Amino acid sequence: MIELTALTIKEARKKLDKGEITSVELTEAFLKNAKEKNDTLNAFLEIFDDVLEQAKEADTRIANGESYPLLGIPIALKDNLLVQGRKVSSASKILENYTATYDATVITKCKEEGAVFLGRTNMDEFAMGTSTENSAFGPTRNPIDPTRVPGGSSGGSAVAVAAKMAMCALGSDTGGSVRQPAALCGIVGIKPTYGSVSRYGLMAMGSSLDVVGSLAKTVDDAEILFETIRGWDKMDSTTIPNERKRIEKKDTYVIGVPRDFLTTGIDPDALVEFENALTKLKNEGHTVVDIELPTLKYSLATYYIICPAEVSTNMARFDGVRYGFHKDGVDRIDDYRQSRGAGFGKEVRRRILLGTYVLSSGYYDAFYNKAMQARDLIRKDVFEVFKKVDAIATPTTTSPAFKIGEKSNDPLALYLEDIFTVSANIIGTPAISVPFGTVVRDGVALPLGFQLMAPDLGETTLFTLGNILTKNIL
Amino acid sequence: MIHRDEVKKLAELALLAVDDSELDTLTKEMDSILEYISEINTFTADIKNERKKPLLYNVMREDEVMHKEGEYTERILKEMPSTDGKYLNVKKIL
Repeated sequence: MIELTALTIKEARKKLDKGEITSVELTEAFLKNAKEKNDTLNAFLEIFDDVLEQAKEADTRIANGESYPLLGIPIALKDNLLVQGRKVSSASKILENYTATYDATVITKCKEEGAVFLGRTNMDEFAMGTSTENSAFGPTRNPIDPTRVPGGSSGGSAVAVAAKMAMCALGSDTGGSVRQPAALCGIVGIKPTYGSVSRYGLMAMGSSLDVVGSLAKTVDDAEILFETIRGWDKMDSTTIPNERKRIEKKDTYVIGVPRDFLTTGIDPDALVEFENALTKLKNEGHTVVDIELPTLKYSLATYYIICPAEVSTNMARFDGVRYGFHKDGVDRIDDYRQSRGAGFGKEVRRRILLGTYVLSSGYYDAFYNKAMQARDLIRKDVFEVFKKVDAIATPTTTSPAFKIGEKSNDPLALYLEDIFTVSANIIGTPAISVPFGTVVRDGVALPLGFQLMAPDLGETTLFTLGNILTKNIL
Repeated sequence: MIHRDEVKKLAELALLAVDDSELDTLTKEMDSILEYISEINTFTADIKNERKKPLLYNVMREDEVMHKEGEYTERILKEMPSTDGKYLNVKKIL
């Protein structure tokens, strides 16, 4: 008796198309896990009540001879992706009872292929966080050690996949929010090139940084989901024309390691596994070289200036007037203050204030303009390096999953979690985290992530190398 | 780096009600974050940073109605906190 929830998308597709299993059977298997584990793990904010109807419809389509990569495949959606007619809240009280009025483009694409939407997953409120502890609806727990965080902000999506509550999941990555939880939960997560996936219908956090990404058990599965959702979209004018050439697969790759950047702050056991991964790449015939990227050290400060600035703009629409939580004040303007003050959680308010600060007169030049210049220069430096290497490698995080509550009183400590992931968002390049190695803490083997970053439209490089690294592991 | 009063002013600019009880913690947190991001001051840009073509640029379209009249009205009205027929109720503006 095959364990249905252990199947990959590829394997499930074969069995579905041959009629060996049905989407209803497959979906029921994941639903069972989801219902059993969700009270403890809190991965899903809502498991949709029409999941089996969706699966039955997929089965009808399969019986009619249709076949798409995602037809009948149960997927989980991060709670910031709009599905028309369904509740969506970005895990915030300010949108707790909001119903989406249209479908996100990525949702339309998944619907066209007949994917089965299991439900919406928990996240840090408005995608601001690295632990999913900032959700207004409770934290999500890491299935490998439920006393620990799953990472964030796409923590719910990562746990849904890792705990076999969904076959794969969609998340969003603004500073690492797909890759970091993927790393902490032992699965694959990819942040595609900025503009390669439409943001139409993704609740905006940092509009020049946000990318919808895929989370899955295997590299191939993450690639399948990516291939479904990507593409130019007239509704999102930051999307890349489909004619733009993508980087082709090579037989051997050169991987650069920014050694200067890895000297401090990394868990020594995690560093050992990082070196093991590099060794594996060398053993498979690829070249690993040291590279210098002195401007990379400004990435985090650059990110935590640009991101809050864009956040403060994007959060301005939530004023309790046209939608969302409304709290009465003494007059109209006070309504806005009260609705926003009560509807937004602490981290969201902190970032709005930070953004307001760095954009305010007197500080705009010193912070925001400086950060924009840094952004340009970091991109220029990284692309100089990409002339000599195909991909840049770092650990995804400095250490494995930390305990729930361990860092929640220290916002800066949580920001520092992003240190290796933000660069890819600042400069727009694609990056992947694949599971590699574990570290034992309190008797539990906690997973680690190995991160690779490629030039724009270099997803194939990432999938190819990712497959090599996870060969014989997954 | 930042004082209580400045945080209050920022909250006013951002139209965010901040409780007095939160103000001290918030100020301390923002202070430590600002200290960290001030590192950007040590970054010296090579000011020959002119980009020939901007990475992002505005895409325009004709200012025309692109959908059937009333197509989305119902859905949007449903989300409004207070309506009167097809009107959104708001407090006095002037």
